[in-house]
Amino acid sequence: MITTDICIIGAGPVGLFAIFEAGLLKMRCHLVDYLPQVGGQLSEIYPKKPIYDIPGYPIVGAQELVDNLMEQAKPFDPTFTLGERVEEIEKQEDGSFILTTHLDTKIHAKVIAIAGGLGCFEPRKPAIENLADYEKNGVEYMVLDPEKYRNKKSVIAGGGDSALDWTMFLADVAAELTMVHRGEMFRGAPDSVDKVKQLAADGKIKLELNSNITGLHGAGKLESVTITNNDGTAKDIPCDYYLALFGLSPKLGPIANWGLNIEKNAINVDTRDYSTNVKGIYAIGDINNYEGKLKLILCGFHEAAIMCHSASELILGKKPTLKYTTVNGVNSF
Amino acid sequence: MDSITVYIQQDDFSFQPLEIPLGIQMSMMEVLKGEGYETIEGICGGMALCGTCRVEVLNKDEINLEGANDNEICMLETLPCYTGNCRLSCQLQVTEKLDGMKIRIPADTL
Ligand SMILES: Cc1cc2nc3c(=O)[nH]c(=O)nc-3n(C[C@H](O)[C@H](O)[C@H](O)COP(=O)(O)OP(=O)(O)OC[C@H]3O[C@@H](n4cnc5c(N)ncnc54)[C@H](O)[C@@H]3O)c2cc1C
Ligand code: FES
Repeated sequence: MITTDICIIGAGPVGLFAIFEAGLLKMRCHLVDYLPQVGGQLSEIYPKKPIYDIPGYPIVGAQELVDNLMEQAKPFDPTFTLGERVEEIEKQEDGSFILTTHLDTKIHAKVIAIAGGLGCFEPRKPAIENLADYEKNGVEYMVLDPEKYRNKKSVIAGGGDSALDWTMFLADVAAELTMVHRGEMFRGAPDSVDKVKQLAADGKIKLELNSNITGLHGAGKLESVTITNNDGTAKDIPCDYYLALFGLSPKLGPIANWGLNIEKNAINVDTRDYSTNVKGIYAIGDINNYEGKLKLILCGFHEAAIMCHSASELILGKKPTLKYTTVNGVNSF
Repeated sequence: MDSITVYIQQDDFSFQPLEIPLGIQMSMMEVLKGEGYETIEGICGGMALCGTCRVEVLNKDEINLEGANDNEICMLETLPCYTGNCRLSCQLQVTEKLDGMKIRIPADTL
């Protein structure tokens, strides 16, 4: 079991900044995020966009801000469980918590900070009738372990960056790889689009444009898929895996089941310290709600600082003194 | 012309007219959110990056609607539920070109 002072659910900008604020008060953090990378909405939805309202930065790229937050957190040795969703929270007799993820990773924490943003980024699923029958038996929505596809026949569907990136990566790994996209234009880096087209021209992958996966077949596990062209023609091709990479959309998810006061997909908090109705559980960033709430990164940063002072008092039993970093520096663990 | 009318399909397939004043500098995403349609989330704030504002335009050939630009098409085509009539409501600025548009709002969020 992983043990930590604060378990932060969500590695978006607010969760990442909370590591730093907690570290100044000598508390260790472990972060869990369902996404395979840190950065929350910034890295998943708008990594290349500029942000203009981070104090002190007239302009900063979204991914650059995430990278800087990771750099700032480094002295405090945060640990991460990525690609896993916190499913359950169990309160212990001593007031601490055990969190369990959907892959059964267990984390023991004195305090929980939910920095879950708009919720868990869940994959968008295509509307194919018997899709659910093949989940875990050949249909996948995220690539967590590329080795799984070695020497297997795979089909990737989607037209965004992740479909392009994994097509490039798996071209050398899979026994056969087909990329299916319902349009002709891709929503990804032009460089990646060129590379994928070149792979197709070299015969390393098959590229099926203006096409859609419309059927899944196999007894007990996926054995083939039907690819239907926009002109109505269809064909079946054998495959072991169908990777539906249509991007991710946030959904509140398991947070709704933890006995917290939830209104309109957000957790009501006490603005004195961003605590929830459950002692020891805080909510910061986009996930919380209070009168006058603004879903902005800078507001989440403020909430993280205040939350950490309250959490420190809860853990150590006394109010921490406020220390300036200019005076004390940043003392790493 | 001071306002336009957009028709929103209801569960019983009838159409509810929605009168929208011109000159409000808003997109249909903002208008529909303001009207309380909860399946129009508009998570990216109108940057054609999230697809959570998608609507189906039921009479696109009957009105004077401009086609989607490449950016919008690219986003739409990555959505699993895409049909040829889908549009991102954040890319539909309220102008006289939308007058008479009939839309269906998705029953579920993306
Ligand atoms: C296109 C766009 C432009 C924006 N521009 C600006 C701007 O200019 N300025 C500004 O201040 N803000 C902007 N925002 C808003 C800003 O991105 C958010 O305020 C910010 O991301 C909130 O950070 P967060 O850490 O609270 O949550 P998020 O960034 O949403 O991260 C939350 C993380 O929690 C994870 N999670 C949730 N539940 C679970 C669970 N049960 N288990 C595991 N993980 C979980 C999610 O997977 C997610 O990665 C913009 C947003 C968008 C979409
Ligand atoms: S609001 Fe995100 S695509 Fe329209």
